Amino acid sequence: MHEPWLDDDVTARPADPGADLRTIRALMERARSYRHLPPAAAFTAGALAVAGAGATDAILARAPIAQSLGRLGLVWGAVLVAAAAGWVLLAWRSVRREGAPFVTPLAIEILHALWPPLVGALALTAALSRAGAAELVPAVWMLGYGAGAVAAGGFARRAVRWLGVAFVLAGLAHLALAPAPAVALGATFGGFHLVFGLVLAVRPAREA
Amino acid sequence: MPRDLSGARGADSGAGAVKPDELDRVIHEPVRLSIAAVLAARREVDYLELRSLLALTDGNLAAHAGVLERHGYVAAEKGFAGKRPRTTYRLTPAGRRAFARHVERLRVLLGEGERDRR
Repeated sequence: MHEPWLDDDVTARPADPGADLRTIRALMERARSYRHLPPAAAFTAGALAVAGAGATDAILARAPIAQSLGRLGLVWGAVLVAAAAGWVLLAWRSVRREGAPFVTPLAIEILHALWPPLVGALALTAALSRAGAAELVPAVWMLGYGAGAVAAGGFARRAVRWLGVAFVLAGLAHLALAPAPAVALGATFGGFHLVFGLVLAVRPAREA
Repeated sequence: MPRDLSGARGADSGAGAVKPDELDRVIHEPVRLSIAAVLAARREVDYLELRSLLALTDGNLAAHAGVLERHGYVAAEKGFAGKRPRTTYRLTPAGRRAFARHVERLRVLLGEGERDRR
């Protein structure tokens, strides 16, 4: 079979094995890395969490944590849903700008990395609340979210994995030091996401 | 993590046995090498995503993917995502073997080049 491509462009190209291997490695890494992480989504999540921490502070000023579980659950459930919706919307816009499909095997792998630790954190929240150990719930969510981010980081830029590591360390510190929940939640879910957004904004080229 | 290229050993590789003109001409072309590298890292890749990843034009991607397809290295599957037509590509087993063999040959050539410089 005659292939004009073979005649024209291949025989003329000398072998540069070093350059070819570098290209192959870079492309394989890029193909395995989810690229649609808009900084605005991280800023939105961080701002929502800071607002959630403010609401937590106000709620806990009126009643102890054991009697505020319903209200705190509503606040942080709303923060989680709004932040997730923001991520989906902004990532969808980023994907559509490139004309690429939104749901890809890579995106599904990220979801599969994220959901088990989050469902685990939800189950532990219910169990700890029933057992009268609600003060441990913020640490559980830091550890669960951190574990999910570390796992998802295998399919995205390195900063995602570092975000996860930061959350896991914060969760461990929270277990050891037991700081005020509002401060801890604001500093981690708020502060960490704002810093993460900054990293995404400042170093976008490394993502691609 | 991407597949470790060091594990991609071709059946007929061997130090000192490879000459530059023995490289697989179908895969050696830069665009086709790029397509093969992306497909080697993933089970399957959507046409639009592949075009975006490699910053190719429609014509360029279709032409080179077509060459890989005609040589049995790539399989294209046409379907629909909702109402929109969608084409996904994947490396065939023959394509994976050819890619692994090509990578191994490049590694052998690189080793020979470094030995020559010493």
